[in-house]
Amino acid sequence: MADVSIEDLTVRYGPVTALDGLHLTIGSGELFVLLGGSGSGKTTLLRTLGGFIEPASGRILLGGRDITGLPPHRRPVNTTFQSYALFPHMTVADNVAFGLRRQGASRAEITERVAELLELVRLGDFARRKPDALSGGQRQRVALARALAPRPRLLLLDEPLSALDRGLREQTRQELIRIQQQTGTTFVMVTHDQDEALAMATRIGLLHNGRLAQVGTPSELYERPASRYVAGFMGNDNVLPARALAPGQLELEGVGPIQADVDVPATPFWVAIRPERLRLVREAARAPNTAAGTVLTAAYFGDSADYAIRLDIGATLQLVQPLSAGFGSGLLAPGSAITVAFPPDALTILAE
Amino acid sequence: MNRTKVLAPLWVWLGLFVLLPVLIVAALSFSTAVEAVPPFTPLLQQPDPANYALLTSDTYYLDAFLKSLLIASVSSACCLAIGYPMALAIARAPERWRSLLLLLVMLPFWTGFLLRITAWIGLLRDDGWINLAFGWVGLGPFKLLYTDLAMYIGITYAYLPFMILPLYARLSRRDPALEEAAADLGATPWTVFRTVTWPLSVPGVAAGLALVFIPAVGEYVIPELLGGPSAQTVGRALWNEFFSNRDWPMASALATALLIVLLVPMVLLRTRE
Repeated sequence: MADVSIEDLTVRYGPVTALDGLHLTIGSGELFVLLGGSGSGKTTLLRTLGGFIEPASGRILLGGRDITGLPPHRRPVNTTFQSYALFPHMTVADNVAFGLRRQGASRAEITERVAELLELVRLGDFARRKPDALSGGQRQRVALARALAPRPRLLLLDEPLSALDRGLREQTRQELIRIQQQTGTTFVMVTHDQDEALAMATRIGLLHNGRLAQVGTPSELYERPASRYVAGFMGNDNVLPARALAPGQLELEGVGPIQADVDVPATPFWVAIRPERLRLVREAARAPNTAAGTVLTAAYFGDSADYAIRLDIGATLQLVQPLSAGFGSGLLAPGSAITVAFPPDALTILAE
Repeated sequence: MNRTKVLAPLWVWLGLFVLLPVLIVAALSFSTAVEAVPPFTPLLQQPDPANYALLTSDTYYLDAFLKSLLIASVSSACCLAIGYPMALAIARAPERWRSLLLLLVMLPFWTGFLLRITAWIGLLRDDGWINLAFGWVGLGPFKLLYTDLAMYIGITYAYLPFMILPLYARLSRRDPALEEAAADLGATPWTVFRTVTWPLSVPGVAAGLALVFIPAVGEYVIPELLGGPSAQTVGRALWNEFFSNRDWPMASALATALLIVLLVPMVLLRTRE
């Protein structure tokens, strides 16, 4: 069920086009993540949904209703800001009550709803504190409670985890997912962190230069990137030019002929292989789907190791290998001769 | 130790040029006027609270105090009403415009104070520019000069920059995200102002009001040049005692009383914080 429909949305800052004819539908109850680097337009899209930026053209529908021309205070859309933007002169309870007061809720309703939300974000004991007296993680939760209190149809989250320490970020990420599922509110969240997007999203929209490079589930973007840009952004470091040899067989530049479980296009194309899908094997070269090479660099991560491997034929590949089992239970030293195996199902054909 | 050394010149300055004169004036207020040079009995020989007795019993002085407090209150309110929108507009203006706009606010300081007040006489006269403009639309002439209105215009005009500058200092440091957050949560532009912009600017408002109110209470020149004869302020009463009556002790008593009237509320306000 479509909750948010974005139709042909274009936003310009003077001569700069920040969003270029965007089309996107977001389903009810989704946790949709807008992913992209800086300048990709992800924050612009979020602010346009919030009503802070007026689009040059296009429409935004919320539950079938056109909200394109509505100012922020008349949209059933609330935001958690990157800086949290908590009102410093109000207590936590007054911050959470702010939106309810604007709706003209009764005193009893407000008291009840504020208590309910502070319970939801586990800050029941902090109602009378001022934001100054809270930690970063607590402020983040107050911002969330404040935005959820007026029961928005759509909640926008601008980099909600970016200001938190690493440990707290992991915990808050799970809290956000729990609260999203518990309230059933549609969340649209902006982030630049692909791990965060993969861990949280029901679907991801990857923005690049004001356009959507790909929209799909985390596994779709991870396993089947639509383009070299998407593959690169999702941490896929092995993208190689290729051409068809025969049905099910292709020539990878700098690697050689490879058997692959994919439909091979006739024209030259690109192939992406995730670093963790490549295998290191003992067998000498010549075995099908292998290539001999040398370890260039090795980085130790406890349970796994990152290698850069230069194949004898020319290509340099990135590999991630588990260290706990099988071959390579010890870290390979740079300079070691090694053979790389290409599992037939590890290859992804890229359209562009 | 270092702290003491750094602050020492400040304390010496304040002691010599603030505390000592105040103490002399206070001592003077307890002496009696005589026909002599200097025109008062020797200080601290026979302290006599007669001046203060007169001050609190004679309604002439009491009325002057009340009138001064009223003028200062109305002028401060006018400065706030005009200065707040200006300060907010400057704070919201694009970065590159701000210093120019602030410069324009301070521009009047580059000409003499008396000159500027005298210029208002030319504007407010019965045949002045303002009545000329009224004449073009078939109104007036109105009696403007030597009225309370002229005095309020003059004081508001003269002290407006002292309101705008502290307000601007406060408003320019506000976080625009807070106003966005309020609008996002359903607040109309007016509610955003009422619930977020204004409460967070209150320290600037207090500073501006203090900077206008305190000198306006003792203001002598503007009521004298623009105001009517009914505007009997503390400043004018003080001038009369000092120069017309040559009663230095009474003038000193008035000055001391004025200081107390202004100081006590401020001290109370500070201790409450």
